Amino acid sequence: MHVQRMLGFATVTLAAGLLCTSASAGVSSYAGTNCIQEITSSPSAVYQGGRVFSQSPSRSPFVCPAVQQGGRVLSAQVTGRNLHLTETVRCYVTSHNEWDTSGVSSPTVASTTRPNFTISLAGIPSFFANGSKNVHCSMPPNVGIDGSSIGAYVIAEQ
Amino acid sequence: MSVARWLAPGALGLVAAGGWFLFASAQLSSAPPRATSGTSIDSHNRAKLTAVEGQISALQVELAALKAIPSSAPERATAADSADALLAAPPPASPTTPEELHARLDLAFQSQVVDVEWARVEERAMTDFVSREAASGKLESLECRRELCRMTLKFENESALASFRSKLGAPPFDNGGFYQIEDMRFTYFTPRKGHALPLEGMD
Repeated sequence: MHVQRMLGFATVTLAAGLLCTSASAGVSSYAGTNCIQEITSSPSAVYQGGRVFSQSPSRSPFVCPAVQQGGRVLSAQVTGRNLHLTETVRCYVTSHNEWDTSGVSSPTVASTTRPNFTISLAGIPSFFANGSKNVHCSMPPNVGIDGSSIGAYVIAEQ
Repeated sequence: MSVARWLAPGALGLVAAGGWFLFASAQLSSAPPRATSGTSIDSHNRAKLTAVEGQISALQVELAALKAIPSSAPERATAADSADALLAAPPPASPTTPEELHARLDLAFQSQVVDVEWARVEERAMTDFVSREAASGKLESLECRRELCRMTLKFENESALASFRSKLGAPPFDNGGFYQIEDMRFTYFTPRKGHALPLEGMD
């Protein structure tokens, strides 16, 4: 009887663990401060709180890395603030191999609201073993005191 | 098929099995002693024991099936013991290789007939983009068919290549794509707007 009761508790505990894991698996959230400005030896990014601000007077590419914790990218989302009056923030997500010699990217999506924006990105149909995922954003020029910023990004993996 | 889709039915099965164990246990412990002979009590317990053994066997089979999922996806660093290893089971959708993707896209590209009007406009836009954003790169080939374009650029160094790559995402290269780099040669497949790369069904 004791054995049965212990087996019962053990299986219920294991099953609950499996259900919790499967329900929340593969969704990773990151602060914008994980993003870095690309292709420059004199970056103009400013990090404050959880956000990265693009202070450059010209349009600048930023990359926001994500640890690969699952399979293919199902969707991604970027939130932030666009302080430029006419230009947009443009983002896409990539899945690439460990050497970044190959990768697949989603279509680019531009922000449609300002100052606060949320960009929802489509998934990617494949992924690489030992690879990783990146969100790429092209930030508009800074025209004032404060630049546009990325506050957070989320990647949902299979 | 997703991990959630795989694990959820198994987990529900385990819940049911666990519930059954608890129920059976409670029944056994709360049942009043029967006024029967020692022989019939023994046979009753034996039947129960056989049923429990059957359930354990079923659970073992289920666990073995879960563990047998191919482990080609990256493993989690925390998968130290068997329970963690089970929870960290990789997704059923298997990873792919650059060569596999490249071959698949080459095949899809070659199988397409040319939409002359669209291809001409797209090739022109891409050529303009490359001459503007990859001045140090040499455009070795660029061709669009019906729903897919294929381009190969040769760069002299990593900096020039990286600089060009940082410009991707802007029109006309805003439809997503696949890239592969070999010896500073950058090959890029990009689909027509509104179309996806022909990679679906790779799971």
